[in-house]
Amino acid sequence: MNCTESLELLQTRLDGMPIRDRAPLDAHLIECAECRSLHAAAGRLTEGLGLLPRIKPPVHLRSVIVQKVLRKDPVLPTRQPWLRREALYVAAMAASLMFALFLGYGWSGRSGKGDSKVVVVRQEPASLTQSVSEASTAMVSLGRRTAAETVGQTKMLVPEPIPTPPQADSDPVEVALAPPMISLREAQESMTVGLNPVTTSARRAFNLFVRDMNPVAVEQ
Amino acid sequence: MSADDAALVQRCLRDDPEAIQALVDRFQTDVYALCVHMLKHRHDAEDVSQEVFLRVFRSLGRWDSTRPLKPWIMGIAVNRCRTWMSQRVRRPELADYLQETAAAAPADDSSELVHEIQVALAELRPDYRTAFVLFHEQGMVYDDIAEVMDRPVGTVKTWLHRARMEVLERLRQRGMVPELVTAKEPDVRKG
Repeated sequence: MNCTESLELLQTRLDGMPIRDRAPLDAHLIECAECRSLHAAAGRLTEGLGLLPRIKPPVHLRSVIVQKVLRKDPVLPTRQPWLRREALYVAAMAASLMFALFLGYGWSGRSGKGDSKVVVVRQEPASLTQSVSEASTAMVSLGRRTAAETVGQTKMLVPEPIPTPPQADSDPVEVALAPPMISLREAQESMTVGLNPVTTSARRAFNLFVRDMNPVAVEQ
Repeated sequence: MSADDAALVQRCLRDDPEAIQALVDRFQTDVYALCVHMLKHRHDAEDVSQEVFLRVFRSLGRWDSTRPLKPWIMGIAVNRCRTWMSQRVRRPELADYLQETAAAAPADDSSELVHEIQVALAELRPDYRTAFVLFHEQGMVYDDIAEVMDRPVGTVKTWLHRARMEVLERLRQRGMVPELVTAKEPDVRKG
């Protein structure tokens, strides 16, 4: 007998079935310490299973169940997992779209600019694909407006240089103002456009960095 | 037993309160115990047990009277437990039913053996544990377990065998199995 056969007899033993011819098994167990250990463990498992305390229901459970059955209480509905996921996706997209619309209307009201775009939402129910498309358009539009607002506000924070008055007893000295930072602004705007998909906070952080880098930028 | 089950079911379908009570009495212990093992939580097991019996009585008219009643009811219990487990947040704590101790405290390691078996059961994957409990605690045969778990008999046997091996391995690791030395092995004490 080999170990595989020995383990099959172990399962037979745990099934509660008798082993007809024990001689081959006993001979194998004398030789094989591993199988001997497993069969000993099976003996202990059988012993322990007989000692396991019976799990008893609480005393009130029976009466509660009977009352509910006689009252014909409704059972809890079982939702299919895939239906739950579908509902979650649609709810998430709808929430995103509503949030974008809310911000869009709020931003366009505060900026007062005529070129603000208004996202029109169709009242009739739209398909999931259309809702995703509309939400994407709304988010891109929102990002662009936010970037424009942030750039505009950042420009207001850039201090204008105070020209020094000419000395009375000397030739007028041409105050050489720092050349306008056209290249920096262009880089800023191009970066802003490139960062359209990026979150509002990232764009604002970049603009603040530009402001701190050269406070003498002059607006043309 | 099947004829007895059929008669009881017929009385339940006529809303006989005594028959309803008798059916609950007959199966509530097994249903509750299975729920405790599967859910590892007594309160959850209580809630699910109530749910199981509500569903049992609601669909009692669809039970095949040529089949035994217990596997059908336990199958509903297994399904409800599976649904409950899929919908709840996983609890990190140990099974609270492990606090259950044997009635007497024997002088040997029996209580420790029982505890180790309970811990080993709690650590089994749910399907293994269900098969183990249905066979060893509730005394069901492979065919009935397959019906309860809605799986082929071969799958159930595989699950049960693997569950046993994991429990045996834990008992060995925890020192619950004495070292047996045969006459053929050298006695290291003699040098």
